[in-house]
Amino acid sequence: MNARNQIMLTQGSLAVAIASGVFLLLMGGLLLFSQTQGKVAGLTQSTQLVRLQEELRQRPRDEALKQHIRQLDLDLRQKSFTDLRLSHNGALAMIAASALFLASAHLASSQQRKLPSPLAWGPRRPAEEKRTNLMAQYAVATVFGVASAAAVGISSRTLQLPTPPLPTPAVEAHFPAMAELRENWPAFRGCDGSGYREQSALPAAWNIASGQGVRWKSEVPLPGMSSPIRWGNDLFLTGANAQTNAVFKFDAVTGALVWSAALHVPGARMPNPSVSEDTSFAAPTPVTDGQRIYAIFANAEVAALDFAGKQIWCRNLGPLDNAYGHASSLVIFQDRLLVQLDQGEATSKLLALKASTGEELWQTPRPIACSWASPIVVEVEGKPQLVTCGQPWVIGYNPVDGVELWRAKGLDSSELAPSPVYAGGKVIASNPGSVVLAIRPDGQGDVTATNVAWKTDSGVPSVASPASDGQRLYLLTGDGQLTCLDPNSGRVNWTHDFADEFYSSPVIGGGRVLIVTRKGIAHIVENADQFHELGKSELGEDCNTTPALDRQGLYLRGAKHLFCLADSVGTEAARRPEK
Amino acid sequence: MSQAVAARFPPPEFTETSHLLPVPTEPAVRAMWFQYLDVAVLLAALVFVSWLLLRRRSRAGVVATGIFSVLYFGFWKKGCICSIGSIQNIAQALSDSSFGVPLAVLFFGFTPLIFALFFGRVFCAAVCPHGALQDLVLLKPVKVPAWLDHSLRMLAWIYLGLAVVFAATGGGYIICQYDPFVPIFRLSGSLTMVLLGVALLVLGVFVGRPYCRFLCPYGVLLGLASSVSKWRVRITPDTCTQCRLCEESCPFGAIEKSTVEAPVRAHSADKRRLLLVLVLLPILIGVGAGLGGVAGGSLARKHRVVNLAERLQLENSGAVQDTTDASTAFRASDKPLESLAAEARALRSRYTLAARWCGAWAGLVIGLKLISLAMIRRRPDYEANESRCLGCARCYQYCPQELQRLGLPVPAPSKPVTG
Repeated sequence: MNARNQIMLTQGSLAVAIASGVFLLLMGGLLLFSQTQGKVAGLTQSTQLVRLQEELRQRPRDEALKQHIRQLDLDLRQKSFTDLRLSHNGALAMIAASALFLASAHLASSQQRKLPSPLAWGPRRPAEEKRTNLMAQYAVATVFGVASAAAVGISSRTLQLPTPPLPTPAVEAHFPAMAELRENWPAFRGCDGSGYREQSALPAAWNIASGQGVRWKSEVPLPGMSSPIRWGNDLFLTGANAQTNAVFKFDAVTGALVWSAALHVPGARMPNPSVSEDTSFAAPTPVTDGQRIYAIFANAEVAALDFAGKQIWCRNLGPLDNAYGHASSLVIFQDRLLVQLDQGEATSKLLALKASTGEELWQTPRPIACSWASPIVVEVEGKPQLVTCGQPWVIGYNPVDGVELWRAKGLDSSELAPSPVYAGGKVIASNPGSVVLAIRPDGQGDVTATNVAWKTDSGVPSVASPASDGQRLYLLTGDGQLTCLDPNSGRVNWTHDFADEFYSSPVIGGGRVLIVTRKGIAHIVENADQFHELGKSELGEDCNTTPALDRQGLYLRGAKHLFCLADSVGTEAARRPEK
Repeated sequence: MSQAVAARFPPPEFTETSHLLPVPTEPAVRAMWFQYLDVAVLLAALVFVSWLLLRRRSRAGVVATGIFSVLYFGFWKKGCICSIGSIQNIAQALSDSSFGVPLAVLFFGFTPLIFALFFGRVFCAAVCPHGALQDLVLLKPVKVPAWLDHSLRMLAWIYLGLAVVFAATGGGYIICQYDPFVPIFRLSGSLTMVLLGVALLVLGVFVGRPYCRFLCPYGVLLGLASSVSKWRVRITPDTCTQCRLCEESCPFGAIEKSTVEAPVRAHSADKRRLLLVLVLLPILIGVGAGLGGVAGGSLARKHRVVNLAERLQLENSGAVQDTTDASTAFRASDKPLESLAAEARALRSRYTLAARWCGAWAGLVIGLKLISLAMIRRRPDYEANESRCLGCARCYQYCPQELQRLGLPVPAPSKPVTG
């Protein structure tokens, strides 16, 4: 390339470099301006929009104002997206201009490149490197000094964290003894979920209209399908509507409503999911350990209250996704509250919460579809087991740590509501519409092939849970067939068809068995190997709950009222001295 | 629409017109074969640049590959996966056994280091998009005084320590958060980071690769690996003639001058200085560890749990009047404050320990640097510093032996150079 061409190339490159450089500066300045001073306020920053929305709250029916807001909203969105598009295109243009600038500048620079002239640097001096290194040492030491000062500066703003709570003196844990639990009715279907209380005063008949056999009748403030529980002279019940979850305490002697406590979960209350009318927002039965009452509701709020109605803790375990609404009742084991949350195979789990604080102690995922059955805690060979039912497994867990002990397959119904019962050393599990299984809970792993003691397709419950006094097992189907079996062999003693609809689970006490239809018609039969109906009475309102028993009578929740029913003179069992 | 999106950009209310808002969609997960492609391209680029630098000795080839890397690893891949950031994934995985690192990230993390062990910093030469971008903008190199160069390079070592601390303790990936060039590659980012990237590029017009030399934590590791490499960049393809033509050719201050023409001798004062810095080393480590421990609690604020716990404490004590989204969300949950506070206190202890190690590390590297500067080295030839050389191949063009190899005219000095 001759000198003239080289000069032209150099000058041309320089001109392009200068032009693209100027373009870069202008475009950069423009983009910077649009990002800072010229930035149009977005939707969340628009004070005008916020002001108009505030006005709309004052005048919610002002159609012109609504139209104005809509138009402003649209304008702001369009402006916002236009700005984004312009910024993006501007950035692309800057990159293209940068490439052009660099290419032309490098080209111009290469044309002007001159070889270095070491002579111009002068001779090298021997001490040059030593001096440089000495200066570098001081500079490096300065870096250490600056870093140290930065560390001190950072630490000057002390981190302020909540101070740990003072250690509370160790209190010896007190758990109610089994005798105390049996004396009361602390959970759904009694202390062990069998529906049986030996010393019970089950009346043979009553008459709501005349008041015969009705000790008292009290209105329940809020609806619910949960059943009553009893501790001493205190009866507890839950109820809920769309806005409120509440626990109620009634006086077992007089029927007076002692207190009503609405739950207050910290933060925002989770709205109720849609539930079936047959389930309600308060389907699970509460549980008590004699110190506190624990309750759970359809929106996954679970809480503990003391016997004075003061909320001790309340937390939300949700959101729950249950087709009919959550219905599984709570159980207590020692100091832990056990919650069965079967919402679907990906989300079903078993939770243990510390009863005193609600803190989660353990959580075990469950390979279970959605279910409505309640767990039971039973003692097997001197060790506690938590037994659960859900499609397709009956599973036994260690309630201390949630570790699975055994499982048996056989529950293929997708509508699994009946809870298990422990009778004759076997776990009785119902597979609605199909079969009842009796499983020996002493195995490990999958015991389907080895531990199923017997099966029967007679009287398979669909909603009501079985009940047993250990000698006899009672199964109640949804359409009213009551079957009495030998829990050891599965042999059917008798069966009787009441030809009515039943959700309420049977209860046994004082030599009698009580079942209540959905319309509130109670049938009392003798707890014997032969069928013998002792009486039939009407509640006067629908009933889908399971009674609580004590030696004074039975406590039964109807659609609107809580009843205490007893023979006016008491039964023979009630008059017998306690063991 | 998720709550986060709704909060950022609340949708208009269309309840009365029954207008259906479009359902937000999530972009599909990047296909696995793209990762294999990235790994293959990285490997091919490293091999190609090694060949270009060490066998072909081609500056033009290095520049061309650099442009490709800027386009592919930078603008196309938007700066991720990135070998520089992979340090953090590896640090987190080493501290948390439950944290898995994708194979592609491991490959990006270790392959350039393995290449550096054998061939020097070929990754920095033209494969790293950050380095290549800075190399392209270098138009008018200004020589950074050696004393300043030595001291500023210590920042990268400290940055490496901090990055490992934050990644290992769950405080976040600060290398990625404060990456100055990724916003440019992605054409989006916070204004501050975009301006920082632009400022570094403008500085890079005059100062050769400021990020690579003074800040890049991965460069520290590459420099260490490169210091033992056998087949690294050599200025002359033959015998050094001590012509001094290459002496100022490196814009990165990576050429070590020959001591043949200007021999230096160690005097007793030099030996005393060496002894002093040797004694100083454990003191620096101790002071660094102590200061790290002091600052550790404050560094823990970077962790979201600690930050939230402190925020709640300040709100509860009335030290601040307003609330944040995070504190409001926490209060709306049913989690007890004490469990959060307990976690925060545990994290503070963890940070304090990690920062102590980081401070000791800073003291160690600064002490070793002081020792290295107190030692007199003798070099027969002009050579590229084994750890500082970024493999740009500029010095090749200044060596008369190289020009002769290429058949180009060799300029003769007007008179012999004297020492």
